[in-house]
Amino acid sequence: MEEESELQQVARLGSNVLVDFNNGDRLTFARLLPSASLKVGNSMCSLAPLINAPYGSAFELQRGSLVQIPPPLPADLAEAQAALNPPADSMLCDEPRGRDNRSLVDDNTAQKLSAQDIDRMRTDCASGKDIVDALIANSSTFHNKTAYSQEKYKKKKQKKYAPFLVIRRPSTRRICEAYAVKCPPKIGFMRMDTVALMLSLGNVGAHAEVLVMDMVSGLLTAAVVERMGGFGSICSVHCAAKPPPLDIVGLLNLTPSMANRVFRVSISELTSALARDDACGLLKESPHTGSAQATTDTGVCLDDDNNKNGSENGTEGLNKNAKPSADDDLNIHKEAEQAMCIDTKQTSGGDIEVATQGEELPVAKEDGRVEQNVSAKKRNSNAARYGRKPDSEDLSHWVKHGFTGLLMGAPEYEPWSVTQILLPLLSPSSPFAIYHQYLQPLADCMHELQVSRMAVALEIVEPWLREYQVLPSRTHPHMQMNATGGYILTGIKIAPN
Amino acid sequence: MLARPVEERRETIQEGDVVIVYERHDRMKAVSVRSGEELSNRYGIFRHADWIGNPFGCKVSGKAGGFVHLLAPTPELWTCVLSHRTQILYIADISFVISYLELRPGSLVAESGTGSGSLTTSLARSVAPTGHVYTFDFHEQRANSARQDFVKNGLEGIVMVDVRDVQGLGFPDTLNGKLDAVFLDLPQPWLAIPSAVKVLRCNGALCSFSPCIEQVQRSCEALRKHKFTDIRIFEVLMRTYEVREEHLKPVQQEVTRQETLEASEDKLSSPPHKKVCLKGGTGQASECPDTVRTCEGLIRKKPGFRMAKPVPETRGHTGYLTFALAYTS
Ligand SMILES: C[S@@+](CC[C@H](N)C(=O)[O-])C[C@H]1O[C@@H](n2cnc3c(N)ncnc32)[C@H](O)[C@@H]1O
Repeated sequence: MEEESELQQVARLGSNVLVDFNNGDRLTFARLLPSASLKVGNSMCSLAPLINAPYGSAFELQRGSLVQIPPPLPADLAEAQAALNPPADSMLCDEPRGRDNRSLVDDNTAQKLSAQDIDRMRTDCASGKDIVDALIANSSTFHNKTAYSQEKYKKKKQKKYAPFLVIRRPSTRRICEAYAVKCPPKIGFMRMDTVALMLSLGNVGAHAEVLVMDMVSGLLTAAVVERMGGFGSICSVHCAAKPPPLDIVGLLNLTPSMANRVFRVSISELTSALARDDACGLLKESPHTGSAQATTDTGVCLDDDNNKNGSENGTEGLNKNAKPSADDDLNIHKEAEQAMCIDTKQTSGGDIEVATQGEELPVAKEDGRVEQNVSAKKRNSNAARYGRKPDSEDLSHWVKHGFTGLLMGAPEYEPWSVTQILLPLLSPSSPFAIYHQYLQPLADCMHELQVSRMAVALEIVEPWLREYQVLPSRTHPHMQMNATGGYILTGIKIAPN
Repeated sequence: MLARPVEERRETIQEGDVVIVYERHDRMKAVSVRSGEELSNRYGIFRHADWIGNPFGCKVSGKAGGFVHLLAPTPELWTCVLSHRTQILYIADISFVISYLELRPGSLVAESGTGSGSLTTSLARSVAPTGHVYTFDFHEQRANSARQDFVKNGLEGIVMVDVRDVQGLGFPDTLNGKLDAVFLDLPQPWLAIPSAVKVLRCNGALCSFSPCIEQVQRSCEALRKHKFTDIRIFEVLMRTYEVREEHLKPVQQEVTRQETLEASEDKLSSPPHKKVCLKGGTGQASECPDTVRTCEGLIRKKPGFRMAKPVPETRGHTGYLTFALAYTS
């Protein structure tokens, strides 16, 4: 526990960190190796100064290297934020009277400082803030601008001359938020509140034995691993011959004891274990429709080609690279290479030890612009290992006692076709939560569950999330809102009669 | 209520267990199993003694022939069945708070007020078995009732309840610098914020739940004043859907039927009001609109549309959730 809470609070050598530039302009995952570097502003900087800094620490660029600074305070940031995000039609509520943009002329003579002046300040080691202040002091138009334009000016100059970054622990919540903005198809268009609900609905906690079907890049698996903190087990089940990638699990800083609790198994291994157990008469249950499929040996109804509908939603390709392979174990560690929706390229000058791991996730800003500053690096071969193969004892234990919960995020498959195979693997009274981006497949699945009387407390829920800006005289919902976080079908399995 | 290590797991109901008696999604009740006692509801009279030894999730019948299901308690079910001594938090807010605060086994979290313990129960699950929830309410009776509930649900090793005016006195000094997270559900949360700064560790997280935007505004001012960073405000809701299978008629059928009726009226045959399966207008044999002929030639009810619609009564607003991080020095 000691080791674990420590890892939670301080970025250590080898830790993955989430780097937040200029308060949300750009998010990047990086791995803190001694040789790691990252592009900040226009220069590549070593990430070494980040090692051993507590999460939440802020840094800025001074003479080409990162130097720790006190984290910028929201009092200042909030002002900037508000000014940049004015209420509709730019009616700032407390704009001093008579100040507007009517006399603003852009003739490039407003700034009295020359480029040389600025360069001199930089070599004199002035902080970014000093430079921005000097620019403002020497601007003849600044004081006639509206508060909105002033802040825009300040922010632009600050980004150029004083970029700062804050390091964050890559938690599932933050990873989900980053993916939801940059590459939502990779996570099946789930939102952080959707994942949160699923964890609750699935009764995920220490000592649970959770069955997870994760075709959302490891988001669900990561969320479960994090919530269970090394107690209990997570069985990540897949149906194609080659398991889908769980990259997101690799972004967490898992302790060995946590990583050790993740198992990967194919659906056929589980169902044949169940069939063996059934034959011994220990568990007498099989859903009327599912049993025939459940006892066949391979991918069952879950053949890739049969399920290639709905491709316009962007989920196609999630599993396309799945090629049959004899050796599951090897694949699990190689899979991290695929499935990033962001262009990656090698760092220049990086030796084999690889600068940073993971990918860059530029994030849309309030006004909807996206910073496309991609500079991600090759993965480190030491990436956290996740997903070992269960031994036969684990398997027979699960089959005998059942899992305590089921979470499913498999946008490509018909929910009912999977549910009827997986539900018999739950112990009675265990809850399940099945995610889908569309409502209809869940409605079908819910109807089948109602008719077959396999579960009670059946419900489809749709999470809804809205963020607000709260500032004096400027409180309103955010302009941007992710309109859908999908749907969750939930219920509690009951004992067969 | 909390999952036990694999070796200690027990799947059958025993004397003294809390079970959730499930009738319908909106009719559930927590019952402590005591052989000798009976439960009576609209489905009959049930002897607790008959439940013992059955697995959780089983269906049991009453003397009158009706049945209910007996479920193992979870924090979600508890939120549905607990006695409302105050307003409570529901699953949408609860799940979001726990995820956003990044609680996990071993976390230390303080909460005020305890209220009916709806949130507390979920907090306990997320920090168990090695973490703790310190919860405070200035209402002694509520604190006591909540404590009894926590004991009943086996949370006594995880949750510590105390009677304390957190707006007036803040959190106890013994917690200073120790906590990973603080949660406030108080009428004037800004009064507790100076104390939250003290008990939170560096970069620790705070959440405050308030129904009114004015409360949020005052809290945000206090948070900025106390150098909290990353202040974000959310509203979360959850819409519930029900699913039904319905048969919708294609309009062509109606038109055809009308034509046929008119035709037969002309011949003064079958009376128009009589509902019968009529021959199609084309003269070919056809079945009733909601039946199909299977390959064996049997007539079966045609599967309808599975249609989902939101349940009409939904919460439109619960409160705003304000999050912030303690300053990293
Ligand atoms: C709405 S309830 C909390 C409900 C709780 N979150 C739940 O989910 O069950 C608010 C509680 O705060 C308590 N409270 C109000 N002022 C307080 C104060 N100054 N110090 C401690 N508790 C206080 C009230 O007694 C009440 O029980």
